[in-house]
Amino acid sequence: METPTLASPRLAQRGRAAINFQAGIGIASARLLAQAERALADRGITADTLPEDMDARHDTVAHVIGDHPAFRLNTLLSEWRAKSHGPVARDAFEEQRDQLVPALHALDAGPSRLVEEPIPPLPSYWADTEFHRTEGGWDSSAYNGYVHGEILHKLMLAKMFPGDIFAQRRAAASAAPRRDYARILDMGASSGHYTVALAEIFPAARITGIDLSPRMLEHAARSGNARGQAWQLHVRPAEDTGLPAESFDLVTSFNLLHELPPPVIDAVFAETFRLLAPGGDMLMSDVPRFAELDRLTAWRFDHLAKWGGEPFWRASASMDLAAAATRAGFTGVTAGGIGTAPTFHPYLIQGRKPA
Amino acid sequence: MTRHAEYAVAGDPAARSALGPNQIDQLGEALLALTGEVWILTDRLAVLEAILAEHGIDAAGAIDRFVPSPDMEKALNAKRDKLIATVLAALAGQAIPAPT
Ligand SMILES: C[S@@+](CC[C@H](N)C(=O)[O-])C[C@H]1O[C@@H](n2cnc3c(N)ncnc32)[C@H](O)[C@@H]1O
Repeated sequence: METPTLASPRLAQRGRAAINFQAGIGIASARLLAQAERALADRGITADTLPEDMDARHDTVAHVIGDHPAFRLNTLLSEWRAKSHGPVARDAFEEQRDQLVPALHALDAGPSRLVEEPIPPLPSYWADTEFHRTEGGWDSSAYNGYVHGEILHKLMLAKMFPGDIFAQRRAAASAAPRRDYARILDMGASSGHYTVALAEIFPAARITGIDLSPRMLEHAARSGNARGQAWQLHVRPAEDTGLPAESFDLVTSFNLLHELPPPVIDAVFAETFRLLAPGGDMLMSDVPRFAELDRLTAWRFDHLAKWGGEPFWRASASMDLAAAATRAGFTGVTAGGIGTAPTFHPYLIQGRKPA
Repeated sequence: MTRHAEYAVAGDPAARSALGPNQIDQLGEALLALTGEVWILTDRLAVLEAILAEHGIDAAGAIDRFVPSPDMEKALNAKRDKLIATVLAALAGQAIPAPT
């Protein structure tokens, strides 16, 4: 079903081995962190004894295992990988540019398209942040949708992160209470991984995707065309889409909310409410709520987010999303993780616009 | 001997610490970058040997007898410079340079 270019990016030897090494460093880094956490426990600090305040938690960890070799090495590896994964993936693409560029442009034609329209002003929290500590952020290079969405996701992240990152998207989409939505909006569609899951679970729906990154959406359009899908993609902010009121039956997102400062999350729920037809469903999936995790697991997320270039993760993960959805007018709001302990990732929040 | 010694600047081992204490992290990162390069080569060599073996060629002996042509030497030099630049960038705490 997927073209070889998308299903399993074909890199030349250097790029393949360099990305593979990044994954190896990521795995080694996680092992070092686990070792450091055992040292923490040996010294009497556990999820139950860590302080409530997150900064105080970091201080405690630094005080107790700051000079432990495993913790120091984890810091070194995290820092190096954060800085180098972007350039390594970029170089891997460049090495195969002559094969990849024509293969990607062959997917430009088809029913999925990035709608040509004036690009709205980009919010400063997005434009001024180098997400994932990659120079230039989401739009860092002409083919970053492929570099980030396919090379990094399929050859690095999928091999490092626990669980099947694509099955998580299908599980999130499957949690929607109905199967017969006619019109679905995917907010923060990016390079289209969740959009693929939506198309699979709701084959009859007409799917619209929005994101702030044209480079990511260009790739989503190619990914849609590779699957014979007719996705309409727009560069629009989720908090102010400019799309007609009451024009969707399901508004959904996967891993968008942790990219946003809390006031924008509130605005996204309000916009979602406006966009839904009466009786329509809201389904957002994101990272676990810190308040629902044990203090060590929450500390680990915060530690990884700090190194990983995720500036709004802590504020966003500290927000009560059920309360935010209720404030926006949703009824029957439910929230909780659907994954396995101790993270229960992904975290889902659902509600309905009253009919 | 003694006449020459009076012109020489006395070596001070303590003054020969080229890297400052704040460069120790960069040294660690340089080591990781270098390990990555070594891994890429290890992988490539294994691939090469496997491909040659598929064609019934024992590469090891042939590699030792091989003399690079001027063109190959030029290409090798470019690769060498990229390798050095990558390691030096990490050591200097700078962005990894794009390919030229
Ligand atoms: C982690 S990615 C999303 C992942 C994607 N849904 C998936 O399943 O892989 C987050 C995306 O949100 C986009 N984004 C961030 N802020 C946004 C906003 N205010 N409106 C729309 N998209 C936004 C980013 O450009 C990025 O592409």
